[in-house]
Amino acid sequence: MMTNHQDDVDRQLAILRDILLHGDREKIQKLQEIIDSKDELEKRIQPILDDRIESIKDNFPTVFGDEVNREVEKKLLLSNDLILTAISPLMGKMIRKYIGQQIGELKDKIDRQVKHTFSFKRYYHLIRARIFGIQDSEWFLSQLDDFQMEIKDIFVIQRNSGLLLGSYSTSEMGDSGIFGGMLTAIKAFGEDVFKKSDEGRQELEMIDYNSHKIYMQSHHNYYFAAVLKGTITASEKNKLSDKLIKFAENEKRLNSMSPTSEDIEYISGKLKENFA
Amino acid sequence: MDISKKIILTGSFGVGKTSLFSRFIYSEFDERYLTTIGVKVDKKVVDVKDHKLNMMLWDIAGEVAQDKVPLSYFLGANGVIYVFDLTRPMTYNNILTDIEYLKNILPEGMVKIVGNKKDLVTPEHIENVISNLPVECDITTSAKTGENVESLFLSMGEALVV
Ligand SMILES: Nc1nc2c(ncn2[C@@H]2O[C@H](COP(=O)(O)OP(=O)(O)OP(=O)(O)O)[C@@H](O)[C@H]2O)c(=O)[nH]1
Ligand SMILES: [Mg+2]
Repeated sequence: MMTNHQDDVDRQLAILRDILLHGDREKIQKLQEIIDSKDELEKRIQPILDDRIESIKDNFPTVFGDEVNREVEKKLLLSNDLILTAISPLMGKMIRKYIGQQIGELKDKIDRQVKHTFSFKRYYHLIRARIFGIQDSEWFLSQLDDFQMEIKDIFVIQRNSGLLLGSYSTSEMGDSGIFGGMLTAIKAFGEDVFKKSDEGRQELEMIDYNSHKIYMQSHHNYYFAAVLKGTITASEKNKLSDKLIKFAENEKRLNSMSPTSEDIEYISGKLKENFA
Repeated sequence: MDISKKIILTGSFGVGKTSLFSRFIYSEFDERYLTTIGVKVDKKVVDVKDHKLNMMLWDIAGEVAQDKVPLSYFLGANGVIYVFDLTRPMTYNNILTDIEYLKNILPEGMVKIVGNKKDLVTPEHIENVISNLPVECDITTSAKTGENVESLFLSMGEALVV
């Protein structure tokens, strides 16, 4: 009978527990369901996460700032060399170009100045330079060899066909016939692109590389292309331009529509005479 | 005596202009198709009738219609090599319009019409294609095998030296 009695007690206790814990049970059941269902769980947790993320976003610099800075500093120190290697050629080029430009402007300024004060003052300076060995700034600048304009090559090219009419060349740039053809194609391409503008016929005048420039002057049937090295000032450009115009006036053979090799030799000789 | 002439290679894209150009100048052929951007100028010197002829060859980017090609590329050209692809009708369907256009802008120019990629088709196919063309096909070539490439350029050279 002991067991029976015990059973009874147990049952009654269970009933009592059920009654007492009924509310909690339901709650636990619900929680269980929430935890088991991904969607349900997500619905509840997401807002909390969102809040967290927002707050991290807002406070990131204060919370993690120092740490990040330290990391970046470490990386930068390590890659110092790398960055320098990557940047320095570019910097070099930029600085060179900048200095070149500045010197060009300076030369222009001096030119203007000289023209302006072609007078007593200039003689005074020249004489002073002679006597005291003080260098005229122009002379000084001309010593900056690298920035001095120099005509490396000069070509006369038939305007439409791109065929060479003559050339004088000091640089070893490969076949001048191909140069003439390609340059003509490039020139034509650009002029085609811009011809829609209402400013009339467009001409490519200058192609600018870092240390070299190609100056072009167009005439009716042909154009000149001068490969220049160094810095070109406005007045140097004008001088060259005048010289080319004069050359064009003097050399009627340039207009030959189908130039013979004799024409080409003749023109090449004349180019050398005038521009070497 | 040296003479220089400007010769243009034109036609639709992918017909083999660059391939003919490379085969003739460098004796090379590449199966890969690298479309030409803009224009490439190169030269080959050939002996024609006791003259040294500088052939300045302009290999230009293909266009479906010739009036799409920048006009300035054609100006001053002494000769035009118009290439079509024997395997692709769309490259010769408008041939008459194209050739008339070219003759109009270059009245003095020598135009040669070339059917390329002959290695890919049978002689019957070639016969069929060229007999149905509204214009006279001057020569059929293969840049791949090199067949007729030399004679194409040399005949152009000869036509240009009087
Ligand atoms: N089998 C065969 N393939 C050729 C021949 N000629 C050219 N090809 C192939 O055709 C493709 C196009 O040739 P390209 O010479 O680049 O054609 P293209 O006319 O210069 O084309 P664009 O420059 O785009 O106008 C390449 O894959 C060449 O290998 C040929 O005679 N025979
Ligand atoms: Mg091509």
